[in-house]
Amino acid sequence: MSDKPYVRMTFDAMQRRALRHLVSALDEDDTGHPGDGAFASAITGYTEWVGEGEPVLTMGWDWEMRAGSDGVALRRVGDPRSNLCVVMRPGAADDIADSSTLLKILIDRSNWQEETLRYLQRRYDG
Amino acid sequence: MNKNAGTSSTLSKELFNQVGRYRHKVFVETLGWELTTRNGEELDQFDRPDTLYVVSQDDKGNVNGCARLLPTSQPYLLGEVFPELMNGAPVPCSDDIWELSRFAAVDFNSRTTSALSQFSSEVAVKLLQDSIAFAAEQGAKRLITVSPIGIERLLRRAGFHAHRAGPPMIIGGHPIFACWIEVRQPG
Repeated sequence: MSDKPYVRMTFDAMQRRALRHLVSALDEDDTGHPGDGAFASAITGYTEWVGEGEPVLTMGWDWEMRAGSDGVALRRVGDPRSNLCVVMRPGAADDIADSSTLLKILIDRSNWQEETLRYLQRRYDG
Repeated sequence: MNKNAGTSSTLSKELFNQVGRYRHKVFVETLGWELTTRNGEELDQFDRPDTLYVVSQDDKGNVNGCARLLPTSQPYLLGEVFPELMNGAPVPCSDDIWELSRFAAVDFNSRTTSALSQFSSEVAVKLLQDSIAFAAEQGAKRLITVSPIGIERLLRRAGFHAHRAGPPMIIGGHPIFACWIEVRQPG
């Protein structure tokens, strides 16, 4: 049994990998029953991306949609989910918490919102 | 919540029939999966005499959650039906790697739970914890699961370490994936 059920990759190598959008969706509305009271809920959902080339990379994360002065905007919330362990240097020890932080940096630097919004519009506007 | 765990012969016949009907209600009627059904029960070729089940019931005895456990040293869902979810890696085949499948925790009798949510509640977290603990008692060191991607959120909430084995695939309109779950050994 392998001790490492994930793809190990440096932060630099990750920055060179292009990601392709796979699927996004809104969360089901699970805010309670009529009569339970009023809920102020944000629109939330998830998005899934895969890396081009080998080894195959997969990343997904949750987002929330907020209305701003420039229209609606998506913001990542929570930790990403992936098959990756990202390290700063080739010899660095595997650390899933550090990897999660590095993945969040990569995601927040990328422009995933535009493609995700386009996809959601196609999916839910019929 | 009351928990029962065992095989089809150690669970009571009535409870096992309830599980089959519950799975039909969740996976066929609610989620729309195209699965084998028989007399209103959802059972397939992996529901064998040696298959293990973990079942959750509410205080009135209604099933509100279930899970299925199979050792990967015997035929199992991922290995036989969805090997492509391993992203080219060999499918597991070991006595200490078990598969978790048909996991559901929809409480159809709760007025505050969405019937569309498969992983919606504290029941789901408890059932997941119980299922992983039961697998550990059988010698599992790691689990592999074929699931909708929503189970990752549940695993995080329940405090488990999980890694994707590969990217999700859209099957029948639903993204599903294979996920490794690390098992903490008892004691």
